[in-house]
Amino acid sequence: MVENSALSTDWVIHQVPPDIWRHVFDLIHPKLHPFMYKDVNDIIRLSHVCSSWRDIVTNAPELWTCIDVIIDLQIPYYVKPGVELLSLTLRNARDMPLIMSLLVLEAGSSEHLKFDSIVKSTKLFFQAAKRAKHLELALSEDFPFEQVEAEIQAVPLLQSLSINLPYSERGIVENLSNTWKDSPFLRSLELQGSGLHLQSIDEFQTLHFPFRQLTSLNIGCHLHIDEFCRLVSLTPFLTSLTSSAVRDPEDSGDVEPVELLQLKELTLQGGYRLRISPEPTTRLLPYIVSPSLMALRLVDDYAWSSRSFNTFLQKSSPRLEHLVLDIANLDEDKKIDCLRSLPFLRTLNFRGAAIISPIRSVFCAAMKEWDASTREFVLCPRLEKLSIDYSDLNDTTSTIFPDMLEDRWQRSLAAGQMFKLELTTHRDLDLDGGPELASPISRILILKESGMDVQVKLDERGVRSSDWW
Amino acid sequence: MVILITSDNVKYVVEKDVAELSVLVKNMLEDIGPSDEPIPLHNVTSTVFNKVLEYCIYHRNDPPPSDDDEGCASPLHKYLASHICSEWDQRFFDVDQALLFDIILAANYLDIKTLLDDACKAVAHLIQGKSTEEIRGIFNIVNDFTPEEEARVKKENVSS
Repeated sequence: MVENSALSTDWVIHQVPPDIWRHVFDLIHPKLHPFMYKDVNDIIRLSHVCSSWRDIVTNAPELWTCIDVIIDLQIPYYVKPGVELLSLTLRNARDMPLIMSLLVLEAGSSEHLKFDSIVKSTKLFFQAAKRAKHLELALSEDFPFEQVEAEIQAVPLLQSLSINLPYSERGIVENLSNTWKDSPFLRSLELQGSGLHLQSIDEFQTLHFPFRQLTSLNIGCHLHIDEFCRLVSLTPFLTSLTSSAVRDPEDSGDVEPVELLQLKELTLQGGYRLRISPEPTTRLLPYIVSPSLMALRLVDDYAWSSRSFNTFLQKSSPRLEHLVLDIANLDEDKKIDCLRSLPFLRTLNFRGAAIISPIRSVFCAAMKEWDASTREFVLCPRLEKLSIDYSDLNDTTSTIFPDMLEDRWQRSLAAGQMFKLELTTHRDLDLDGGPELASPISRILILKESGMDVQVKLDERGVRSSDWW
Repeated sequence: MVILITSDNVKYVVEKDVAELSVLVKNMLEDIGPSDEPIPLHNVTSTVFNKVLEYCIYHRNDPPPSDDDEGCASPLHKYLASHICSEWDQRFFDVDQALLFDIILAANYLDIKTLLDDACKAVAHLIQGKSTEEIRGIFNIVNDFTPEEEARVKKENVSS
């Protein structure tokens, strides 16, 4: 991006203040990235450039606070980082609270876990874990707790905990119970893995897991509806809940809905992309009573149940302001019906992982419908932001979508309201002139030139394959 | 309108909301109250200020950096939002290194957090994934370790 012009020798070292470099280094170490394990070598490398940078890096404890230990059971002695590097990292982090994860990659011999180098690193990890504020543990079924038992202590600064329970999780919950023994700040829990079921949920409760402290819960595995309701009923003060779709919700017997009176955000994750096909996420909605809900995300899903959605609205009467509908092939009429029942919507997002959910003329016409008596749009009168994937536009030669945009934008402008479009693409755009001047993107760019707030974003996940033009 | 004067005595008449993206300017305006008095920017030349102004005008209506108006963005979405500059930003920062660092220093002096963050991201992008030698080459930095320090550095084997 930036050309290497002839900077004089050590110009940057003398001119750029250490605080700025510290900020740059912080951006290099991607500790914000939730799905990628961090490599402390990124930081070590910086400390090897020159004495000035070494001084900055070794005196910036915040750069050393991510501790990610990975053990791969397919490779004997594989543990990263090793004890020396782990010790160096912990030393440089000084007394800063730590963001820690221990990941044991399975499908290998658990005998490897007994290798000295692995035991030493694991012990050091658990000794340091008492300084953790975020702790993520993905352990194997036969993790040798007996070797590290003494090191597993209370974690008084703990704010969030993530546990991946393997299929046969016997003993893991019990062995880890010290970590939440005295954690007054623990607010967030993530549970993954096939080992989560009624018995393990009960075990958490028996071992005094502070469920009532939680404001955020993320369930990353497909539970049955009774398991889901049992778990969520333990956490009455949640403000944010994320869950994978449940199994067999129609066969729920006498399962009672759960009241989450403070819930503000609900995210339900389907399994469309991975071809995991439990029930559609909407089927779970009638089991959650959440009158305070403001944001609902239905993502990566493949089907829609109007009946379940309407039941949810009747029971909860939420004032929804933010909606993500990432549902493949969602019918236009159902889409419109859904939006008709959400008059307070401020943001509407059709972007996501599920394969194309086309935006066609019926939807655009409904979005243009204007009520002269109330002087507002019939559908989503308070809408401030619409987000779509460009590939959702069914007919790339049609101007129906930009016509609707222009109409909504002009009327919003006249009423002194905001209306913006966020457009995501999965390919680089040639914004300086495409081959089809009448295409929606050309019209959208003309609107942008005229002053409409249009953001075009490149989504590097690149999950879609349809051609841009 | 606000009158700003750069270190090389170039005068700019700037709309107030654009000028106030700089916390330094905003504070000075509050201190002097209603006045036509020009505000001197001692540490910024007109060449650099032209770029700063271009950025501020383009981003004048941006929401505050921490604002999450969907209130429900996924961690991945937040990560992408914080790490992917827009196409306009990529073009804006496609300048030679000396000017890029001058923009950083100006953003730091003027206290324009979003510009500072975005410019630092551009520098971080240059460094990301590079070896020590490559980083020295990019910024023309001399290895000034003493033999003792060099030995210590070598001991910290980055692949361990």
